[in-house]
Amino acid sequence: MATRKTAKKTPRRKNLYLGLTIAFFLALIAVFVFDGYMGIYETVSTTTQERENTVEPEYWLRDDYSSSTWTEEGQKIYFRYELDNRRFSSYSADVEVAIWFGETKHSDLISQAVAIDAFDKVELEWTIDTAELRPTDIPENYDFEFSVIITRDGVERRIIVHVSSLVRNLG
Amino acid sequence: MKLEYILFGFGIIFCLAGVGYLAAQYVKYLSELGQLISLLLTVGLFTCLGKYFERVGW
Repeated sequence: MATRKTAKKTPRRKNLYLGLTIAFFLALIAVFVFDGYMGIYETVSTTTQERENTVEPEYWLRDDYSSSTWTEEGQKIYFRYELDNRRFSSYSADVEVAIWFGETKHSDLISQAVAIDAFDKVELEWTIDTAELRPTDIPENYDFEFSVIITRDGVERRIIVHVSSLVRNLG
Repeated sequence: MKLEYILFGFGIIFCLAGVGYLAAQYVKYLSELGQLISLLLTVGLFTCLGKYFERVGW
C-alpha cells in the first residue's frame, strides 16, 4: 500500500517527465526557427522592360546552379544584389560580378570588399546594356545568352540572361 | 478488434515516417551547431518520453 507521500510523489514525477518532453519538443522547434533565420542571405533582383524578377535566398538552397531572365536586345538590365547578415557578428567578404559567355569571361562589373554589421544589409547595384554585348560570331537575327556570375566567398550565383534579337522580332 | 490495432499501428508508423521525412529535409538546411543541438534535444525528448511511459505503466 502506497503511503500518502509516495502516492503524491508519483503523479508529480510522471508529469515532470511529460513536461520535460514538451519542453524538449518546443526547444527543438525553437532551434529550427532560430537556426533557419540566422545566417548570410543573398537576394538578387533584376529589372528590365517593366519586369522585375527577384531570386529569393531560398532559391539558392533548393537549386544552387542558376536562375534565368530574359530581355530584348538594346534594353538595359538593372541588377540589385542584397546581402543580409543575420548574425551576431559582422561579416566581410569580397564580392565579384562578371559577365561570362560560356567558359569565357567577357568583362568584370564589380570587384569590391563588403563589410556588414550584425543584423544589417548591404546592397550592390549595377546595370548591363545588352546593346553592347552581342558576340561578333553570332548573326544579328539570332538570340544569344550570357551569364552574370556573382562570386562571394567561393560561392557562385549564376544568372543566365537570354537576349532576344531585335532584328528577328521585327522581321 | 485486432484489425483496428493493426490499422492504428500503420497510422502511427506513417505519421512517424512523414514527420521523420520532413525533419530530415529541414535538417539539411540547419547549421552544424543547430544539427548537434537538435540531436541532443531529440535524445532528451525521447528519453523523457520513455520515462513518462515507464511511469504510466506501459
